[in-house]
Amino acid sequence: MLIPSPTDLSSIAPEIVLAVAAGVLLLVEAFLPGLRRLLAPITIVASLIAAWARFHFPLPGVVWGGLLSIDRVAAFVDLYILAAVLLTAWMSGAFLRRNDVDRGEFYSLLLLAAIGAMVMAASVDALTLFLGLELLSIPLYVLNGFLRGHAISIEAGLKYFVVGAFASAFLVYGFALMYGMAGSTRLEAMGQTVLDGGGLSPVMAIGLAMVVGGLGFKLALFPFHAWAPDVYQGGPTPVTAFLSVVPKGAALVALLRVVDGLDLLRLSPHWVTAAGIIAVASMTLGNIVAIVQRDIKRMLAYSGIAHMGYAMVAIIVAGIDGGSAVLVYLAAYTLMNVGAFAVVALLSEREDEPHLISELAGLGWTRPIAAFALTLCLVSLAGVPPLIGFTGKFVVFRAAVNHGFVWLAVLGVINSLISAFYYLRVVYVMYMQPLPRRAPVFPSERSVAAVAVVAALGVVLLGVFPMPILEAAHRAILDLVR
Amino acid sequence: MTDIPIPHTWVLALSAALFAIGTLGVLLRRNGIAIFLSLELMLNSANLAFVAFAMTLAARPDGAEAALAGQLFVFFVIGVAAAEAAVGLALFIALHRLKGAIDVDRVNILRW
Repeated sequence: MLIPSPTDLSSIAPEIVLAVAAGVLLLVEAFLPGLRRLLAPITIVASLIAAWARFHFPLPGVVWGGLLSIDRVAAFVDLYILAAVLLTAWMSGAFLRRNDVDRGEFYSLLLLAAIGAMVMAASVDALTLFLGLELLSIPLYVLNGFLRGHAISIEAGLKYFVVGAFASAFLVYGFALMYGMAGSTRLEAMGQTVLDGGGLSPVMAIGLAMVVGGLGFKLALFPFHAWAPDVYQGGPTPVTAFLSVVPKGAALVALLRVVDGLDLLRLSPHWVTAAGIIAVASMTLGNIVAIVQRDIKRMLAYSGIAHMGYAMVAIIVAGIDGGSAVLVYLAAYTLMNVGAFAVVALLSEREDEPHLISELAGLGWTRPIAAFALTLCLVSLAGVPPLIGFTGKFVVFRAAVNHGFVWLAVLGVINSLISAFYYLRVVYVMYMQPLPRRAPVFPSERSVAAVAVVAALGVVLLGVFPMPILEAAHRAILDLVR
Repeated sequence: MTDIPIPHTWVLALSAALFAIGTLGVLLRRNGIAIFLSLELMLNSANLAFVAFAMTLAARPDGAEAALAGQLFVFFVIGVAAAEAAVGLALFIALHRLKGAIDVDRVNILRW
């Protein structure tokens, strides 16, 4: 098909909006550097227009000759990616000005990465999945190294680059093997080949393992997690916020499409064993190593590894229950993490120094709003009702129990209890420990604090009134699972 | 196109060997540029696998379209590899400016 139909074009309207905005931002940077203060607002407006476009245009399903499936799952994920873009851009302005790197490229790359994530979440073909992954990853390599003067930032960018390129090489090679067996790059055709063969052939299994491994790197699942703490700690904090939610969401949905497309649950008993071990190892390792971290960004990195372990439980369950649990969990995880990182972005004197938890002593009294927002996000990450983090964990573990994976649910709940220890320790330090004699001077930027407050409000509101998001996720997943 | 002197299994074996060499290179080499070359080797070995599989598919009676899908993939991988090269080299240059070396041993501020 050489000429895209109007449906094809309207279905990717949000991506087009973001691409145009990415170009505009570069032009503003090049020709109107005096208008730099408008960069973040332009990005925010672009993400709002893109979200409007996602609501306005119909969701046609499979478009572009079978490359993308713009269904309700894609729309659901798009909206939360756009929310993450909006919140990240909102907190970036003040952060970048403080570090003297307020540049158009930053926002432009942010939008390009978002387009990549949206393409990845909608792709039903190996080619678009790969291209989406790269469009998501390559801007993030640059963004992680954006504080060029700081060795720590360059180091984070380089580590993410080497690990990311390594992972995508595995993904491509895996797709090459699967293509060789199926004779097509469509995920559906690959699934059909598996179905016709009555199970996974060895080559197909190796290919699939490489693809899952490649996505596992993006998700920072055990044993592909080693990069996460270093990259989280070294990167600029708004980028870390983005990095901790958007690639993971896109990769989880891509994984969901692969797992459901190939019907792994039914066709391969080894899949449950392997994925179950990955899930449990990720949770346990993430939670236990998080306890000994002194830097809050590293702690959140290990917490992220653990959270992807919980999400992996929902991926294993698959089907309607597992799929909708993944979507709910993603929405919860996005809000909590972006909120927590927004507060962390406020709490540093210098970007190239560690963000020590001990420096937060007494913060509950000197900076009550930021501290309270961080408290809500952390308590929600620990899974305390009635916050959204509890809802997310509840739907995941309920799905696991209902489908006979009681052992996964039990291990997950035990892990949640362990995790409460390190989340609450931060709260303890903020409220119960006295201000140190030489208290660090943290910047006070209203926009960054506002992001934290908005995220914390979302955590509370969606936690108290979870029905809309549960229903939206349930309706969305019906488009994916046949 | 009727006589292909090299059996496709040989091409596949070569691609697997190159992928293994690339993987080991990334894991074992310390010089940034060597790691970078190993990454390129991995991506290109996947290209070789795609082309080899496309060769077998093209031999089937209705395999022309299937073969095209794999060959098309190769072009996109080449493009992506070029983009990765630009970004990766820029990061290594930035590292060199700060540290005067590109050995990854020097990249060690971040610890467990």
